[in-house]
Amino acid sequence: MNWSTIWSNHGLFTSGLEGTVELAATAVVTGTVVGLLVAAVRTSRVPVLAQLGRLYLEVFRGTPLLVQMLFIYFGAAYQGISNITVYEAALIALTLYEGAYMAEIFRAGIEAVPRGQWEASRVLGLGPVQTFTTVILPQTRTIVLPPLVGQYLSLIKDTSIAVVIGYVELMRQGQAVIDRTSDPVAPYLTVAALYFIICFPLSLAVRRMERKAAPA
Amino acid sequence: MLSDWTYALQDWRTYLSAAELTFNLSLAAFALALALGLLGALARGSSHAVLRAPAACYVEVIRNTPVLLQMFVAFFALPSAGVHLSPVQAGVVALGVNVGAYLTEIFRAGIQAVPRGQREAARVLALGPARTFVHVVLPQALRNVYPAVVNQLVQIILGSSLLSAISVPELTGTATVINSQNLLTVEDFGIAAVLYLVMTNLVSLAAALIARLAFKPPLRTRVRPRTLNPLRRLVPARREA
Amino acid sequence: MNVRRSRQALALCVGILAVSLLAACSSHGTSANTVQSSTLQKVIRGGTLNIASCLSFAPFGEVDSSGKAEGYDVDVATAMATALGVKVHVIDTTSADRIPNLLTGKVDAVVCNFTITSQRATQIAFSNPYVVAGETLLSKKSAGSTSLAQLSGKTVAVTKGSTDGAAVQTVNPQVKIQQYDTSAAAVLAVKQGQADAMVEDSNFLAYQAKLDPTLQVTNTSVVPLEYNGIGVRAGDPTWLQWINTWLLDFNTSGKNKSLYEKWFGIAPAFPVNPSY
Repeated sequence: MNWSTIWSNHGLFTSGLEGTVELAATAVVTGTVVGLLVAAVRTSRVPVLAQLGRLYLEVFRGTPLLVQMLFIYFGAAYQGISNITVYEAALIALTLYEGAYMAEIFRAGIEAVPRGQWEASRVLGLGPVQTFTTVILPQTRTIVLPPLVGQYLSLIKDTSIAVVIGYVELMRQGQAVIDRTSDPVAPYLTVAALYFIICFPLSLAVRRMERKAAPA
Repeated sequence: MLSDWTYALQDWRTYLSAAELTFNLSLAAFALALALGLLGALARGSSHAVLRAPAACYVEVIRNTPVLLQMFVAFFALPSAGVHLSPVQAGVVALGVNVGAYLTEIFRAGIQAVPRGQREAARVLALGPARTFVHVVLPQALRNVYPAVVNQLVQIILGSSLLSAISVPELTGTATVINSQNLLTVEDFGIAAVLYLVMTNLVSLAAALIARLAFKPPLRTRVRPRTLNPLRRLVPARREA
Repeated sequence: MNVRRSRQALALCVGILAVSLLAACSSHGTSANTVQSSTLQKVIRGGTLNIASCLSFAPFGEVDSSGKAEGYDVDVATAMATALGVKVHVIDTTSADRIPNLLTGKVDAVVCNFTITSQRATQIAFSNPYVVAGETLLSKKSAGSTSLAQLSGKTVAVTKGSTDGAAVQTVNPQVKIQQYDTSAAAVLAVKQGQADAMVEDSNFLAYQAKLDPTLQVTNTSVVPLEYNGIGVRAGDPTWLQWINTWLLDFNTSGKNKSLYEKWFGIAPAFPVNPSY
């Protein structure tokens, strides 16, 4: 195992980390927004929207993320929808896929809020959107936060899948180092260590939140 | 458009055999994961630190690194240590080891959720620790964690799509190869997506039926909200968490 | 009151969705390319030439330690940009991505060891050849001398989206094929003993065998020679004729030959234009 070549290629690892962090950070934001919207739609009283929401969840939780990425990237190409870069295709696929899981997490939280809260808000004259954002959502925090951050953790790991469509992130740069050094062990160990460094603190945070949320 | 679909569907035999491979290797990986999960949960809950520490290490390392990386390590890096696995073998090992870490945590939570009174009652009845575990604790723990465990099988089936990167001829890889030849992306990946949906829904359905039959009293997962289609009431709720 | 408002909102959403879907459908399909709207003018006016190259396919394309693209194909692209008087911008692509990159307009041309086949020509257009290759066999020296005919029942690694898989099947249907996303992954599989051999472009494999002394490559091509050209979008004759004109100069001035020798270390094995 040749560690000096790892150090001499550290620029590649750094650029890979940047790619991973960029994709992950953006997807966290967009995925959460999509998840909130879909959860709001599913808990609303409009049956058509609720069914559409259920359909979206079935499709995006029942098919692999890789298939969704390939579908969006190559499908956009062959249907003539121009200018979807690899980054955009990976971002859209991650948003839709993780958004589906986050929607279920949000829904569990929303449904745990007593109905009385909705009714009281209506009595006070608050519109549905205002009720949702100022009254209901803050009360879902303890139930929603641990699995939500757990889902963010999964998201960070799932960015590695974008290597298959050619997005330049940590995994891809690890492969580039292997091309140059032809020893797979040290680069893979380095990539694993880098992912571990990013993910482990988050996973500890999830554990701490779960302990706080479940007093017993 | 329809002609595109009929053209793409000419390869239906290839798709079906790839789906069969996907399903078979998912089951094999699931069996490995169950074994690792049970052993890991026992190790983590044991009183000996020499068992607890490696199990904790295993869980933390696996759960904080991407599964694709684990697949690459199993296939490309292990030969440097003298272990040559075929693509399918490497896939089963990687998926099994990966989900085994998640199942370790799931089983551990399930075992802990069994009330202490059960263990104490078993001791009063003079059941040894092994028999207590097998006949008293484990069945109740399985009840607790059943939906989560079934969900992990679904995750294995979906995770097998990544095995295309280590040249396993499973469903996603097959669709990619066919797509690079006939260039009908929507149709090729659409067929693959439908097959995945069929597989995951069949698994959920079978699991729900087993839950109704095998557990006494029958295990019912969360009741579904009312739907427009009355036939859906016949299908039990599925796939939690 | 609330129900009516949410129904109105729903109707508005559906209306917006329908209009945008119609707009998307009707904008499908390219307009006729006049000289003015040709890629050539767009590149010259914009000052940048977008090229897709395979950067995991040394020495055609690779990434140096600072992340910059380099390689034979990259140098060809740079020469093309210099002739146009613009900057070159190289985008990484895999074999399977080459056609989508062109069809979506992400790149102006693909310089990535792109074999001219009539099947691909149904989607895109090719320039005249600029590099010629056979398809040879790479294996470990410890395996002894071997050819495709001797590999029945053994595994051969190929790259998804390239011409190799079909070629191997034609020569020896008894071979077990492993499809990898990148050629680099296929080479790694052979090095690690996970595949018995690999079939790929002869230039690429000769270079890999030079880099790693444990590997050997056969001399004879598995298939008839493959002519690689520059891929461009179909229906743009102005752009294509400029590239062909530039290629004529590039080949006859000896610049192509010297670039090849710089990256591969040997003179080109086959003449660029076919004789039959």
